[in-house]
Amino acid sequence: MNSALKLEEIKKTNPFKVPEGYFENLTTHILSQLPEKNEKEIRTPSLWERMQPWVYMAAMFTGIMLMVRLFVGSPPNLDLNSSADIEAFYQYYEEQLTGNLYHETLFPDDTALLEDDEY
Amino acid sequence: MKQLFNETEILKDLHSEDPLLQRKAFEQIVNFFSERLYWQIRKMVLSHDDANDLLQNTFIKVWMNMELFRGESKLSTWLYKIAVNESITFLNKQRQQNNLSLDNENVFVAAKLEADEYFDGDAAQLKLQKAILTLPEKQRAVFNLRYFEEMPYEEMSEITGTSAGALKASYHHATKKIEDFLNRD
Repeated sequence: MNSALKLEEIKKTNPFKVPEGYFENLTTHILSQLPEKNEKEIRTPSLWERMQPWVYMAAMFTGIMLMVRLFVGSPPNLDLNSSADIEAFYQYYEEQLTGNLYHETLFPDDTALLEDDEY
Repeated sequence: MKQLFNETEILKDLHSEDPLLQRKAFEQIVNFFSERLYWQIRKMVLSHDDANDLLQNTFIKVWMNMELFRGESKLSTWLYKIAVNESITFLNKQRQQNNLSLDNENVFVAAKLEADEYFDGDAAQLKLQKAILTLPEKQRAVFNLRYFEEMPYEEMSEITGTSAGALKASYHHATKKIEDFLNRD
């Protein structure tokens, strides 16, 4: 091998060969291998694929609600069935009535709103 | 003998709603470009079987994405771009699969080339191919497009996505590396 080979000295002819008749049948061969294009276009999304965004959104809102509950705390319980609440309610009611009696004493000419009430 | 190729008419048919017209237009594209693309790929990957597979993949990509081609560049440029990308991806993957460095890959591919029944170049041509193998994949594409195809830098720039100035520099370095290799024993 010539060790001082120059690029210009090398033949630019194509050194590669192909099997006999390769290019004659190439177009037919390539076309026969093409996938059906319409498959992709016709395909309709499944029920799950259509529901996915809604499910994700629902999950997101549930998550946000739980986070709010966790960090802000539950809303006050207004259920009057608990004995503590009934107690608190009557205490408030009593205070209001006492207030009215006090008002009546100070302003006796005012209509006695509570005269028929029993307490 | 290839038939006349009217790119405007073919692109119109390719983007039509009629699947038969589309297929006919695609057939004309394959018929006109397949041989040129084959040689471009073959000079990159050297083996006929690999080039044949990659050419098939190239045309499948073209077929599946042809609505994305809007004629901003020449059709040939778009096809070359896909073919060059396919070849570079293949070479990278081949190197990773065989767990080879660029140097080891040269030895591996050069040995394959010497034994290839579809290579009948003389000793100097074989040495040139070995020298080209020492280039990184993208530079190999640049060298092949410029040296063998004599493609203008502007068109190469569209294919490779690299500026013409950078391509000139890359080609210059590639030629220098190849000449250094050729001067070695």
